Amino acid sequence: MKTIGFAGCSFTYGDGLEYYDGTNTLSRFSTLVGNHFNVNTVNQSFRGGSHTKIISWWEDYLKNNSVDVFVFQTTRWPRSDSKILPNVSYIEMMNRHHARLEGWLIENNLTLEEY
Amino acid sequence: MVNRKQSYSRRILSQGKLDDTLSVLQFLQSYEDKFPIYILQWPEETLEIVKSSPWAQQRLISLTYKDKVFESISDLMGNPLNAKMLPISRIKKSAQTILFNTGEIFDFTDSSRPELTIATDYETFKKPRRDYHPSKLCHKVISDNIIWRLENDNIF
Repeated sequence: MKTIGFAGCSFTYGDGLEYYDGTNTLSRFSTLVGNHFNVNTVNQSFRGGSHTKIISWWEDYLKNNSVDVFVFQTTRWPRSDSKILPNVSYIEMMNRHHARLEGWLIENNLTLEEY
Repeated sequence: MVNRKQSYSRRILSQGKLDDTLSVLQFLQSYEDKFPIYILQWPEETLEIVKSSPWAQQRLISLTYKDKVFESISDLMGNPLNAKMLPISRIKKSAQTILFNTGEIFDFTDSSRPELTIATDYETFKKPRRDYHPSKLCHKVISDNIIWRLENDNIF
């Protein structure tokens, strides 16, 4: 039997569908597509997931497994774990450090590159 | 001073957006010889970057609902312009905004297709939960469009 891989965040996970069905899996789009074609689905999605997390899981999975089709749902970029500055990710910067860093750079008359 | 501050913000934000989106495209392209790949775009904010790659644009699943075609789930749900992220320190909460545990603030004030969001799905619920994920109908719409695309491309 063929397999479709679905990667994404809480949208692909089916977050909130439990209010309709008591479960997130019955009516999520990956299940509906799998049912239509009568194929297996691998839905590996993460609630609040970043691209970094989604890609990391799928890279590991695809080392030893394969799929026949792959559907990748993009999520919001600021969730990314990648670092814009040493030890500072985008989400960390946005949530905690952004305003302080900006202020510090301006106070010290430094550019981002100089920092 | 203000201009310089804004310039830092813009550079950090645009570079972050670009880097993250390109990392996704790079990951997907590394499997292009192994299986067919499709992209389902959620946020409006990175759509232009995705579309700037002919490779990615070819694999983008468009979403048709009530005779209108959308290129992102955000657009389909009717809240593309108000979905935004702000540093927590700058957040001004209102009845129409929601703070996700990821630190993101979304403003759904102008949602024009309310039945596609759980929190405004009054077709199903008298008092919908304050949950801003796609509704059951929205999942059906997305699945119908994926099915259409896979059939159209003779995948199965």
